[in-house]
Amino acid sequence: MFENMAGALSELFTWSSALGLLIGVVGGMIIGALPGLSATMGIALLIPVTYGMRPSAAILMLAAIYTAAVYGGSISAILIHTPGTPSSAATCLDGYPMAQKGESLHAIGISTTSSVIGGVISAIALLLIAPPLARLSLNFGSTEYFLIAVFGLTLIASLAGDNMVKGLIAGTFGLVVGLVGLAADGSARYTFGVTGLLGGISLIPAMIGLFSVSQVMIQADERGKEAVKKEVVKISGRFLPTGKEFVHLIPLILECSVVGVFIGILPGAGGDIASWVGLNIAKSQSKHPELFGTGIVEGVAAPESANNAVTGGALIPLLTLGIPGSSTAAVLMGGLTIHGLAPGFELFSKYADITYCVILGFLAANILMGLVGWAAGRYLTMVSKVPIPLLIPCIAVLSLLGSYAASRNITDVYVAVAFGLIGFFFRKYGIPTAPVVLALILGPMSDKYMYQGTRVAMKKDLSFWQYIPTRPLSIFFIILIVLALFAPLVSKAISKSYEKKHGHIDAAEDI
Amino acid sequence: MHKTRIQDLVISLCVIALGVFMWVQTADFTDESKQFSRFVLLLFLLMGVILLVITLINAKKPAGKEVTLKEFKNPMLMFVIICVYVAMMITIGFFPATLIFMPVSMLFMGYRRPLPIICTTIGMNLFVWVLFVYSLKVRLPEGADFMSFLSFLY
Repeated sequence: MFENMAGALSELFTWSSALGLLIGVVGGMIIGALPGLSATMGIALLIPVTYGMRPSAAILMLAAIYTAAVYGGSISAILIHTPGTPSSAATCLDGYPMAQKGESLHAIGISTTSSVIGGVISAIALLLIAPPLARLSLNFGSTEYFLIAVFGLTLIASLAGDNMVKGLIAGTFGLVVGLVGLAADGSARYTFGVTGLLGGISLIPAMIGLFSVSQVMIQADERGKEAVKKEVVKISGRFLPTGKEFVHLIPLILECSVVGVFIGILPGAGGDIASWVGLNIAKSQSKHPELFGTGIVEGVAAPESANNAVTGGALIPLLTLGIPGSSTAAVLMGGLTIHGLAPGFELFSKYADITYCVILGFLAANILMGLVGWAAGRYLTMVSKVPIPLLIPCIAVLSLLGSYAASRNITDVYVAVAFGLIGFFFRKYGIPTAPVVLALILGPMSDKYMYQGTRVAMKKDLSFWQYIPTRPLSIFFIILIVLALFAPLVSKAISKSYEKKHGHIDAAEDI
Repeated sequence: MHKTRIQDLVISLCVIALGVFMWVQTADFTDESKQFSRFVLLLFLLMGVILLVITLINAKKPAGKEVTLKEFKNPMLMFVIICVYVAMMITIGFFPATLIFMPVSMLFMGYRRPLPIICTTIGMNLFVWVLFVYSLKVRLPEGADFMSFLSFLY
């Protein structure tokens, strides 16, 4: 690991990486602060901007957007009682009452400090855990990779939201769409004689359509309606916590950060769950649990450290095994694919300079996020005042432009528009769109490894399904798949228990 | 059947119909390609059937929010505007199409203040030109031959 640091640092200290870092942090904070826009959509929209960038700067920018958007969501949660992202819903409970008491700046300061510490700890965990895990992947054969893809597909159930069957329909629809084009053996499938379909449905336009174009259509329903003016509390109070306060909060922040990292690694359990778990830890350790909800610093520090710690944790299975545990991670994986980077050991050997640059840059992004938050966090609420009618055409133009720029092919624009329509209907009828993206990525991967595995099995006079149990590592993955199938039930039970205790806060839809 | 269940019924029938149509197509596939395609289609069909069964069992109980046709009016109009924008992009080129699309969609959304509309439209086009044309050297759609007098923009 350390032998790669010099190369990674020289990669990090380039103008393009520095610019990517800055744009990612500021852009992410703005996206996070805007209720209705999430990290997922932000990354999907900005992937095209990275085409001309060096891969290290590009992935760094996308990772910075991820962590900064989670933090940005807390600012609108504190100042306008509307969480910019679902991860910040728990922050509303004490953040907004603090702001109402005239301590808005202090609440933002506590949120900034906790988010930075949570993010930094998750970046360190990423640096320490990911390389050995990636080395483990050297022992994997085609059956293990097939099972990893299937394991990833089981996450669809956890991304499904309230209606699991509809989520699974979305996931299998993504798999069906992934069938279009050339099969692993080189034969054409579902191309209907159209040459343009031989390459399959492009991932980026489909993703942009599902997340961004559909959002434009959803927002069009607000046509002509008077925007509800959100009351923004006055910015007042001191920003940074006092020394005494910091000493009091640091054990809680550290504990919530570690818990957040583990939640991030778990498939399907994202920042929203982590923030509620963090809040519960704070409450259970407090001598005055009755004060939670009245505007106390612990109620902001705990969820904010936990939800930012999730970001680095979620990158661990993504970079090492290629398992995107959330919609944001799935879109990030799309970003990796675009730059020709495949998750696994190669990322930590052949492309070590790029990968370690991204990890170190991710660490730097969390620190930079604190500095930008300190300098400009209070002004971020102005972003939420931008009229939706001005924002919508900009998103539409960037969406279509992004789809076109991917391969300079107008067909991709048609794909984005078509998937925008599909995404709109899906969302209207309560079918989640994130599983479609996950399946679009993992479907062709499982197809390829099933084909390779079948070839290997044939040499041993076995069928593919008979060959799987002959490999011990494959049995381990089968157990993992079975466990993952139960994960959504457990995480749903946790969410329900916290919602019951703390009440439900409407968060911006996670798109 | 409860109104909210009818939409689930339609979804499940669409899934089954699409699944069956695609299954029939696999007859022409190679054996290796057929294996994975049928595995996926089987899952897809299974989900459609499960949703159908759940819908029929709970036919009288409400399921979530009812979606009315009225809710589709503005989004579908926006979709038409986007489609026209794409068509204009091909015929008159990206920048003229964007210069028309942006103010039209802002006005469609009910925004009437001219200065922010003009500033956002010009600002967006400048941003796209600087980032994509100047920096990333992306050749944007230039439109048909009669728009060649604007080729210096690309």
